[in-house]
Amino acid sequence: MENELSALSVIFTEFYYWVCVVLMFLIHVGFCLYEVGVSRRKNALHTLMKNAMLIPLITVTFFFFGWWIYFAFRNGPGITGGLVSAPWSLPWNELMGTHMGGQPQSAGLSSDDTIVWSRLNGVFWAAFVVFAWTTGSIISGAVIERIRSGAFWIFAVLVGSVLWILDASWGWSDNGWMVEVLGYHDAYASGVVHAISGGAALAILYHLGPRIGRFRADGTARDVPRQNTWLVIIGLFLIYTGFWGFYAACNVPIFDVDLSDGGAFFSATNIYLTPTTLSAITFNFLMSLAGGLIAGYFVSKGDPYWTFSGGLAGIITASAGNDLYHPLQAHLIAAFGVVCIYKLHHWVERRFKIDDAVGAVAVHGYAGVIGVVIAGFVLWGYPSSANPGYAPITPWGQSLGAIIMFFGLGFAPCYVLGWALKKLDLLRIPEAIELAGMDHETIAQVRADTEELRQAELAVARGG
Amino acid sequence: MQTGLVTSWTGNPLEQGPLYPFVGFEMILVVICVALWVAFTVWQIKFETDCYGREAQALAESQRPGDGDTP
Repeated sequence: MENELSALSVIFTEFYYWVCVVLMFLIHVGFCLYEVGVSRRKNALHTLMKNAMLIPLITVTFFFFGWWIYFAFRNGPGITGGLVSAPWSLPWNELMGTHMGGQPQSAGLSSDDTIVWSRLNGVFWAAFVVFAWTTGSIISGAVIERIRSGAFWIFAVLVGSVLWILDASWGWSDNGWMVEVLGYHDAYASGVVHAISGGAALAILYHLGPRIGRFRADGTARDVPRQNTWLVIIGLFLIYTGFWGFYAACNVPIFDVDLSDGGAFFSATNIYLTPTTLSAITFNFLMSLAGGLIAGYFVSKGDPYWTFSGGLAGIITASAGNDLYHPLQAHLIAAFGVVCIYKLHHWVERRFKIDDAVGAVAVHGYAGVIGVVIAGFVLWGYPSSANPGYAPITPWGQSLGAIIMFFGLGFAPCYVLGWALKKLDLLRIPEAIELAGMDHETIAQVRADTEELRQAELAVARGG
Repeated sequence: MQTGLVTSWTGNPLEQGPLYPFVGFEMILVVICVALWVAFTVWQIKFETDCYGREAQALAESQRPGDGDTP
């Protein structure tokens, strides 16, 4: 920050991420509205608290170890190298606090580290923390009305502060081993946020089982009436808004992308530090939203819930390549993905009796997997990174990447943890509580308080 | 008494380094906060188990024939 131009560049980048993080907070306002709207009145408060409390728990654990995992595990470790030194991301490091960027006090830090990370560490960290909340919230909706909050929060910390950030280190950084070896490309996180969360949710749902009464004796599913469709739809609109902020947060706003000797060309880049523009991703965000909404309306015959969910799933399907797609490609890919996930959701529900209360496995998991695979075909042969010698984007690299995200880091670890929690009888609430509703005591207390107040008012009205 | 490294806001801020108080005690803060997170997790699981046990028992008693006002 020795001159006004470098100061402007760094402080603009700091401010850019700060604004994105605030926008992304709306994702969680949306998730809370959406889940409460989908739940029944007898479970609404527990549903709200289950989702809301993942925010502090993931935040603090991401500070403890999540941020360090992102930088330290780029090579596996053990696949393309060992652990990477990243002192600025350790929770006890001076750069995790207020710092002016001068000479470091701690060993292991250079002056270059302090200049960059004193301004950007907190805002980068916050952007990734909000992505981490999203992974937890995706799972949260699927498992409502019968999971214990404590069990859910253990899953949320595992996925939000360990598993998703591990996959981001591998496949959502400029030098992760999946980018280097597989040519993995996932610009706006179809796989690294959505597929992993969908895979995790599916594993938990397998152990958790359906809500009481969800399936008829002949195996067909009953609808569980949503208490408030308006809340659900407003929630989804807010998720769209936050998702738009997420798209911006996945970019680096100003970066010299000309690596030739003596050349300089400043552009926005994606997370792989290859060039794109805010203009391009805005085209693609809206065109994939449009494709998803139209396909959702078509395939569900105008059902509001699946139409709006289709908009979200459309964006997720196109996200892996939305830094490079033509807007009409994004539109068609989104529409195709939504038709596939709608059919898959209902087939899995019928075939395996999986009770996914909000369709999260489909909207996030299947859409994420399909989006990553499609990007392998549409972007076949593109360089995955500016780093020399890295594998190009291919269908097989993307397909293997999608399997790693959905099954390897999403489904498998949560299957094991779900099995253990079930054995310990810590996974599901008691049957009597599920039948009465998780909020039955609160509801009874409100009724009693209301009645007592009514009697007091009547007494005053009678002059007593 | 001086809790931080900052003694004056004049001069080049680059010479200041970390601005927060008690520089050098960060590891102790991490240990305290990790312990609090673990303690919260253990307490919450016990608390939730106790609550559900009590509520389930109350529901069972309220549904017993001839016991309470719910048939």
